[in-house]
Amino acid sequence: MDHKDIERISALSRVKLSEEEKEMFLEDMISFAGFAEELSGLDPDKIPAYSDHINVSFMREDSAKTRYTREDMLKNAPALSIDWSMIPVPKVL
Amino acid sequence: MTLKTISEKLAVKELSPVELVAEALDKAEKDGFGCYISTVDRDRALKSAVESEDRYISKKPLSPLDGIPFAVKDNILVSGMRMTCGSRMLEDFTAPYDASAVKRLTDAGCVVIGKTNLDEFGMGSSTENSAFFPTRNPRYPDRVPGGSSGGSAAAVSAGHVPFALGSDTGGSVRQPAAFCGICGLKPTYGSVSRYGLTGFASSLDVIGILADDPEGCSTVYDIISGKDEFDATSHDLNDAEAIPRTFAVCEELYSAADEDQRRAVDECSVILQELGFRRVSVSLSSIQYSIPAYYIISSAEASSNLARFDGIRYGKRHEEASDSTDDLVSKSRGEYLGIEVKRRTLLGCYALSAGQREDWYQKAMTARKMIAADFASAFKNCGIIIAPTAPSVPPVAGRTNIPPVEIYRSDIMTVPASLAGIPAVSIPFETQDHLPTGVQIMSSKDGDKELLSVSQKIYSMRKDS
Repeated sequence: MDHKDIERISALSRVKLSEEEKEMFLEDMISFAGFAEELSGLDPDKIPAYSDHINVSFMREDSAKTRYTREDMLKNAPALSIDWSMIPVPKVL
Repeated sequence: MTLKTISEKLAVKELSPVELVAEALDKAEKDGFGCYISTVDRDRALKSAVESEDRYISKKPLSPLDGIPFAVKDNILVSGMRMTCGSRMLEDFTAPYDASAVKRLTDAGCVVIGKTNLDEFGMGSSTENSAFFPTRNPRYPDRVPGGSSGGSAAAVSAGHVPFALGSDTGGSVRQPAAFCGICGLKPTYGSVSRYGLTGFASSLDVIGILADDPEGCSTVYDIISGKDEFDATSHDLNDAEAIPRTFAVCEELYSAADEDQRRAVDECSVILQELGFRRVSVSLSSIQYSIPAYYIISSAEASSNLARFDGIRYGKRHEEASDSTDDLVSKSRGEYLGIEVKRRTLLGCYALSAGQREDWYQKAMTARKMIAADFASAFKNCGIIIAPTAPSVPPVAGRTNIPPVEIYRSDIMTVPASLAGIPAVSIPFETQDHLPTGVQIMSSKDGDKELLSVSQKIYSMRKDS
């Protein structure tokens, strides 16, 4: 684990970090890696036969319901165009 | 006054919903412990109380809890109220609908009076990680109230409301209940709908209940539990078999706690034997993997769940110009998410990244299955398992420079039940120095009702009851 790893995860998780935060989180991640080492002896191929909600996929009918209006759902968007039809973002092209 | 006493007094008109709600609102408005991030509009609450009073006059109360005020952790939606999750990211978010648990309670006549403080997005165990202010422990003011549902626990402990809703991902209802001298229920996973609860770690999150006694938790649980069409993981309680009258002390957790906590467990053991329970031994050796497994799984799920707070779909947007959408998202999240949330987001993202997934995430899932299997096997030999709720008494408030990994380790008592999805109740005890502690009572899945019934008997037989 080094600075490059922190920068890679920062980019992957879309969280901009200050230089001070990068140092702090590097130290934390190294410390956590030691912690995760406690699982190193486990073999995922030898999963116990027991299973319950951890392994279950929960599916339901894909049926449309209109409990709320579009306006209700967009009220919390941080920015909207004047006619509420679009959420503005920086230009891509 | 317990919830049952209040309910009985309402039924015979010794108490009035209007007086009850007005008193709760007064207390919440004068709150000196930092319990609330926001309180309800007074007129809205009193209007509901008047309607409830009319129902009592016409002898048609909606439920035993009609007219009773309650508080809601601020990561659960209450229509028309702000919901911040204790984060600057959601400072301006207004809930567009009620969470199912809240709706069931308001449909039963209960009245929301406020949204309570929490560690940001539920990540923490002291309620000092709120982006706004810390909550203080009403009964032990120099100590933390626990977390992350510290605001809800404090509101009940201070006597503002007879019960409150919290959420429990790895102990966030049980540990603050123990620290504030009250009871807390973490229900069986899926027995209470998560619809309207802001997701932290979806395979672990449950809405829980904080009240003075287990009987109070049970009455609320009757109302909020059961299948909900808006949460596919929710279910009606299966007909649980009667809890066998045997119990075990989880030795792995008992030995990891300090002397005060062990003494409380010893007292609870004596009470159980007086109640006719026979003590047996069980092995839960996989519990040794709980903490790394919990932090890897919960952080991995959090890194996915919290991706929606990007300044575009939800959350505050970085004000300055950005070069690209990615840049805008990164800056918004960098600016408005707190340190602990960033730490776990990075940790979760790393755990799921190429190369690391096999080493960390899959092994954590293996550990989780081993823990669930160990509990299932143990419950073939005993009805309930008891353990301390926390490894020590509440720490003093304002501690700094504690390494995160050390703080994470203090969750050891509560995360095993979360990983296994089983119900657990924390019952308050006191140390010899009159500091708060708690004993956690666990049973097999869907045994919540009987677990609460046994817990009530234990609660009534404590030395300090």
